[in-house]
Amino acid sequence: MIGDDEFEALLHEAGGGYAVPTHGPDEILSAASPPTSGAKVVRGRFRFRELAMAGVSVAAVVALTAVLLTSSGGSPAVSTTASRYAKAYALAGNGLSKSVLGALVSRHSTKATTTTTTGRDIIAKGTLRLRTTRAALRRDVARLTALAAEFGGYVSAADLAETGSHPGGTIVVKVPAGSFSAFIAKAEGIAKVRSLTTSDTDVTAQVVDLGARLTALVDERGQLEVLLGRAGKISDLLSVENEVEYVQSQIEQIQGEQRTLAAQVDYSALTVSLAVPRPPHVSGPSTGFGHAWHEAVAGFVNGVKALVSVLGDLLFAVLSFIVVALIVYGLWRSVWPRVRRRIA
Amino acid sequence: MNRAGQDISGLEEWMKSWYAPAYRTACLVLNDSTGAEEAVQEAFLRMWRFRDAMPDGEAARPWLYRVVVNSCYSWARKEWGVDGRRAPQAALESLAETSPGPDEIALVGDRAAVVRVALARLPEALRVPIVLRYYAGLSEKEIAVAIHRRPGTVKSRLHEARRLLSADATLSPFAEEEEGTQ
Repeated sequence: MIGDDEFEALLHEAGGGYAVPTHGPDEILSAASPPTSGAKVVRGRFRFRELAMAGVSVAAVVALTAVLLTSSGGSPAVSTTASRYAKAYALAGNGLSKSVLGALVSRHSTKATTTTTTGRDIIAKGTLRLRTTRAALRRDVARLTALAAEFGGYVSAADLAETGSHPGGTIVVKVPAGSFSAFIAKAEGIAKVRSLTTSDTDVTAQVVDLGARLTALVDERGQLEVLLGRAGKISDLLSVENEVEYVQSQIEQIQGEQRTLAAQVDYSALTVSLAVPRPPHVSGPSTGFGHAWHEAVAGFVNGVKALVSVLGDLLFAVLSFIVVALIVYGLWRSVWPRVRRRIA
Repeated sequence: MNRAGQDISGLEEWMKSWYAPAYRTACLVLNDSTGAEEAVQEAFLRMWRFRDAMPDGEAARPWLYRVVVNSCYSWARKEWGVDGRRAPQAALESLAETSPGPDEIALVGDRAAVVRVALARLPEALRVPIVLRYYAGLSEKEIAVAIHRRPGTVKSRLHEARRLLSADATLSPFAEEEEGTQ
């Protein structure tokens, strides 16, 4: 068994073999924040934030109450969402519930106004199939591109082939949602329309849900920041810090989803398919050895067909004769003896 | 009284003086100098940010090692994709394969490499206490604070780690050597 002193000597030898980076401590200290009290900064910042949120909350509660009393035509879904949050945070019963509730109600009141004035969030899409010619393909694509620009849109993807056995292709045009119908009407005039399909997807609920989740996460992050300022034990500090990082990543993910959804709502996509009909296949006159070969094969086939035809007719005639002869012979054999007896 | 009451320059000096022991402790825990540098950097940044919560006096040392060990766990979890409490077996195996054998090491006198490999073979739950005990010089009680375990657990882990290291054939020549020199 190795003794304590031996372990100590061995581990010091093992640890002492690692060269310590000389720049290490200086880099860390220079990267650290300016010499202000970190925890105190958090607390001080939040005091100001709490005061601001409290002020906003009072104004928002007053505004919301006025809206609910004077207007019964507001969005019931939004009112339900706001009241759900109000109930949840009232049940939470923590010190921040009033300010958080105020901020939430304020945000949802704003959302309600936005929804009422701008309508629902719709993603519009469509597919337009046009028939063109090989010669007009390039011109039609240019006209579609110019038309998209005219409506404030752009070509987001294109897959076209001007040559080859299958000329034509597809381009995806994105135009502002408000101009989508007008753009389709103009695009239909570019070439002969084979088919047109459009679809609308209502994502209002999804948008509201993302907004609510973001609001809740932002508030959660705020509460964690308060906890960061109040925690004394390093284990608490580290666990809260990890939680803040997780919540921050969730916030960024939702913000990304919101951006994607907003882009789809703002710009409608029309997939334009340009097809060039294939000309009917016409085989030209053949010449040379190929021609002779084809002629020979055709002659041989025709000869066999004629032979089969002639032999078939001959065989039929022979068989018919044999049948008739057999019948006559049978009749002769059965009738002739009686005739002979009578004569005799 | 904690470090919040002290001046910033004093804190900087304190952190500088503890950088080397913290770095080497992290090296022994992770067996990876790059990871150790990153882990200690993260640990010192955390200490700087939360310096108001930093205890004063003798309690500062286990607190420092606690932050360093936690940073090592975080680094291992991030880099090796495990729960941070276990070094990846593959990494340890490759380390053992690429390291020189005991005879070869004995010839060149590089005992440090043999000890590092032997430490790397230990499960992390045993490696951290023994590094804190015999390299950082923490008492069992201080180790219990640093790794957030009961003193009885620390004691049993130290005993198990000592037993495994004593049974390690690569370390036995050194034990005999030490005995011989005494």
